[in-house]
Amino acid sequence: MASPKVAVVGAGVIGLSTALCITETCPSCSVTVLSDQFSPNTTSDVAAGMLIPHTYPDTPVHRQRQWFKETFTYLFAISNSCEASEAGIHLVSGWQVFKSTPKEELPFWSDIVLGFRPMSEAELQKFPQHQFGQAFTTLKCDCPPYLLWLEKRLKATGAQMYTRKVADLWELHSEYDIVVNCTGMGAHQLVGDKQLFPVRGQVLKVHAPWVKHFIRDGDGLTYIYPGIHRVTLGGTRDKGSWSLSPDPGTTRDIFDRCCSLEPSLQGAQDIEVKVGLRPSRQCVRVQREVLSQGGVKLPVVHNYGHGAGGFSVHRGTANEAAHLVGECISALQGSSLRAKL
Amino acid sequence: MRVAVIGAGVIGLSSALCIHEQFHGLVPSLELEVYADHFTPHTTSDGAAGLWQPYLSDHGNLQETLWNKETFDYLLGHLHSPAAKEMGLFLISGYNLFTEPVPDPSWKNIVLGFRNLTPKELQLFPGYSYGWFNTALMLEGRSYLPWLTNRLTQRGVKFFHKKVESFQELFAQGVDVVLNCSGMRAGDLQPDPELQPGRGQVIKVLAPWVKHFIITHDLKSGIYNSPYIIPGSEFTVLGGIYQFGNWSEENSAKDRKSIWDSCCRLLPALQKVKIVGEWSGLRPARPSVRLERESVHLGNLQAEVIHNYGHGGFGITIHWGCAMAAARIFGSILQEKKQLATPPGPRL
Repeated sequence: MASPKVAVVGAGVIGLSTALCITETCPSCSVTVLSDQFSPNTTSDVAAGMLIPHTYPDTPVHRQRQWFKETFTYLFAISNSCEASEAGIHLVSGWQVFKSTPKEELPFWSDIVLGFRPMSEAELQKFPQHQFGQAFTTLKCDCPPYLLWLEKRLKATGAQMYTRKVADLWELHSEYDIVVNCTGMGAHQLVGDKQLFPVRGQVLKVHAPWVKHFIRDGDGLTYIYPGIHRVTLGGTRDKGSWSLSPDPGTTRDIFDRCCSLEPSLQGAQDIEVKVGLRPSRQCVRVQREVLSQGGVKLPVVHNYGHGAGGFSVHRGTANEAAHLVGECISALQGSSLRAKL
Repeated sequence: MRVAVIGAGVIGLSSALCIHEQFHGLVPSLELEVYADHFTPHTTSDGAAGLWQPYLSDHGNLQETLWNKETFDYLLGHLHSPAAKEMGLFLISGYNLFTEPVPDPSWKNIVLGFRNLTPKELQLFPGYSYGWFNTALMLEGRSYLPWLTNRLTQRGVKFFHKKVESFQELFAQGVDVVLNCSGMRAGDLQPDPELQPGRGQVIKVLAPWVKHFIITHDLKSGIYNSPYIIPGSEFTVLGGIYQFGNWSEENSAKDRKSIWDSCCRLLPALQKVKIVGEWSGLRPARPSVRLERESVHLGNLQAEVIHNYGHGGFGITIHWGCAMAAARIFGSILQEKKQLATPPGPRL
């Protein structure tokens, strides 16, 4: 197989980073990204893109840690380079605060982010309703810039990108040798994964350039994440809701909760409301599968179900998916050799 | 009781406000006036980035450290007030970088979360092997000075746009107490060889992804002669010039290149930014702040000058502590003139 043809379905952070990893690990592959949406209309564009991991109940912690570490290391290098502003990657410091001391004071990622330590009494005075907190410095991937930068890197490798709604992975079998499924929430329909469910997030993106720190309530519901031009205020975790319409009552509630953490937000301007559906699952599905119909086989690599933690682990899962694509290619080359014998 | 403040930078305006707040209710005849030839946005305070941070060492000058602390605590107390945004006040964290280990600064327990940098953090700054991280405050002069001006105007304080040539000029008009907050030009009112310019130059750029201050230190070349990057609410200030004895307020192409090259080495992504302005100013440098009373005898009358100048590159950092100290001196003057039974506030 001289030049395996790989189709990556999905152009959010997972699709684009997976496609890029494939071009890096398999330079002879011809990679095509197919998606019905591209930035700025993907779920990734709604997310703040903060590198603060979400914990997947059914993925072993060491694997989540490895994914996060690879992602952090990769982005750290970009943030330190002259491409940082174009890629939308920047360092941000801040606080995660808890109303009552959490059972686990040291999360699995505490040594991967920078300068992680408990907050001092003096720092906690800023949060009178909270008893305990953690201060650290992490990275943020601003979208659209990060997705546009990934698209630019992809184009430079010769990869193609097309707007196309794929209704069934099988429809790709005649044009492509391997299909990579990075469809996020779309996998519910596309591959009928009933373990995948939406967790609806509504956020406000506001103009408040004096806010230089992130603040996150440990309950994960209220957060303030300063981006390059706008601050993302959140949020909601409406499990099972498929609605992409902003709810005005929720907007008011998010704003109030964030103002109680950071009173200066009362002066925020130009409030934009966005909604995204976190493609949630008990564990991220990074897995090989072979579809077959009438003796014809189509190798598929799945990489979806990142829920609230897509940005935090994207590069790590992309690396793993690219590795699985490599295995698919070896298997195809092996079977084509056998076919010749 | 007529009080004239000379100077409308951060020192003049804050001293005026502090005195008015404490005494106007107690001294019905108090009339406060501010005289200056430059008002915001044309003062030295307007050009400063506005970062609260004292110099590395207080050289044993505990008084200045206390004034710095007083200022920080005062500002921190206002952080959650509705006025914070209008004042140009917000929290900011960042890095101080060194090429060798240094002792902790006098202000390590004043700021929040002071700690040494970890090896991984130092990877961000090749060439620097030691450093600090802490959370401090920004108080942007371009917002704070108008806010102070508004508070003073509301209180009926009068402003006069004129260059005062001598203290006598004001005493001759019937002023009882002069607050000398004339910063760099104090020498024009009364010679002071200890007051010298510490010339600075900055480049203002749009770099909104930078959320931390980054201040490097070269112990050989001295304070602020090493690149620094300070993100404000609208633009980011690049600097790193401190020229002792240089009175020029013209932007120097050589300094611009030096700032640009050294800041881009520190943060490579700056190479692509848009430059929106440039500014030079003179830090009113002095071995220590001159904050003291001077009695002037005019015939059989005694007039008073309260000097409050020479704050170098830490005017914003120390301003409120000095304003309070100036107010205490004013209280003593009032007591002596029997305008006041006892001065307000704790005796120090």
